[in-house]
Amino acid sequence: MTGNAILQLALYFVSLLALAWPLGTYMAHIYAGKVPVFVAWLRPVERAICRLAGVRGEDSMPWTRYAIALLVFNLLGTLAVFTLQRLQDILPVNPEGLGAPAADLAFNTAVSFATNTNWQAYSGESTMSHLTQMLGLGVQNFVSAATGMAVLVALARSFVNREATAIGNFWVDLLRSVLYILLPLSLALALALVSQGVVQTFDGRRTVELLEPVEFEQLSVCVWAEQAGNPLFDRLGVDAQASELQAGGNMEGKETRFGVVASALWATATTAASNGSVNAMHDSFTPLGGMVPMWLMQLGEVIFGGVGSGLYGMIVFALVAVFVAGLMIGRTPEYLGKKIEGFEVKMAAVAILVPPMLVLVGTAVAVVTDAGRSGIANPGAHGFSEVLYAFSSAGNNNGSAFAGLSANTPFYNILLGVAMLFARYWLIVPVLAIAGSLAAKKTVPAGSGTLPTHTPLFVLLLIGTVIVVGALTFLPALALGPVVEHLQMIGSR
Amino acid sequence: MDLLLVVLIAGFFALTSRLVALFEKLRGPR
Repeated sequence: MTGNAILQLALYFVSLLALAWPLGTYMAHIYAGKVPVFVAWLRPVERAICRLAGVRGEDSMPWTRYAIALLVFNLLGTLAVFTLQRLQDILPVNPEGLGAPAADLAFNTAVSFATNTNWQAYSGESTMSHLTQMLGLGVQNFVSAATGMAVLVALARSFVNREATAIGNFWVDLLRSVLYILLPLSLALALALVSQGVVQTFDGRRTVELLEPVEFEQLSVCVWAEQAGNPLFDRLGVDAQASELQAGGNMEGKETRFGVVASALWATATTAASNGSVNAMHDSFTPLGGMVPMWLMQLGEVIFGGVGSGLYGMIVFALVAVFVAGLMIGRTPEYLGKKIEGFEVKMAAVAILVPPMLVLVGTAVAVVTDAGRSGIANPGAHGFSEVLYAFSSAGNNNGSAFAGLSANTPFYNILLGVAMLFARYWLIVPVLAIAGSLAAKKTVPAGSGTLPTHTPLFVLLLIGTVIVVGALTFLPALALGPVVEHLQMIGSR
Repeated sequence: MDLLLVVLIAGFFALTSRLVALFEKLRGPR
């Protein structure tokens, strides 16, 4: 790896670690109602919105009411985005006169943005009008992320509350997430992008000259696999060596500006963090290079994960880890001072099993039906990977696409849309049920039989749990896709 | 088609609200 590559990766990890503590502390203050001075001017706005909506902040809800409020809000959001798309041809702010997307695509997109998946089965800005993007997709980018954050804060509160019947007020958590966290962050980041020339106007499309290609070089298995390139090309005499003139390795489907390292870094970050955007065609990665982003999603989106959902997903795995450890040492499992009993473990099992079921059953249905197979661009193992990737993305609310699969068909739009709905809400409901159950419990002081959960040993146990569950569930499917493809590739050397 | 998809969305959320009631019942009396 070159100095440039090491610098890129180091900058990424240092920024991530440096931001975690101050941002986490800021968020904890916001949810506790202690608004820091520099955003105190937003307090009257919060009060005015609450008064207007008839929300009383002190009205803390039991988990069932919290869940129903969340579901009603998300139902209305989904229906609003669906309607907005279907009527976009007669609504204003549509300078290109774009027609309404088909009903199945509008369903898929509405569900995708309401569930914070952001999977797009259509091509970018040539399908949705400015109004649909701003009022529909843009708004959902805030409120769906805030929904995930609200669930996380309700779960966090349940560890702090003792013998409480309520877990917080959904509307207040939602509003605070948007007003104090997401809006200020987006404003600052949008200004940074504008300063770099990224603008959004009300004009139609404009054709611009591409930037001059910039040379980058070579992360993890993904970087290694991509940099190693495709041996079949070597046989044809294609020069894939890194040099002053080119990044080298497998450059199919990648921008020369980004090269292998920035493409692999983005592919791993976007699937570990549930970002959903791509800067290279994952379909064109080498089999092992493409398997890494797929595997990161299949682990349940817990490495960084989605907004809010990444951490509540990881806490669910932590409950399973303390349960397993409790079984091994013969003690009642405890986590952060709360006893973990049968109900919590059952709910954790539901939350962990729903995504793999959606991914595996969805993939199986797609590869045995004509409608599913007709969307596959490449036959054989690679085609299977295309379908498996699409369901891994939808079934874990990631949103990134492998490309290659023609997913804008009624079959895929509806099946992937349904997978996104279950993946989102059939995880949120058991997580809120765990919050409700934990909040009602007493806090148990740590004793000699308590397994410490802040030690490297527990971290290893937690990582082991995530990997073992992920591996046991997905290795057979991965063996049929990227693993076979890799063996075929090296076998034909 | 539009009506069918709206019913699908509404039906899913109605089903999920039943899941809330089911889990609360499973949690049992406190």
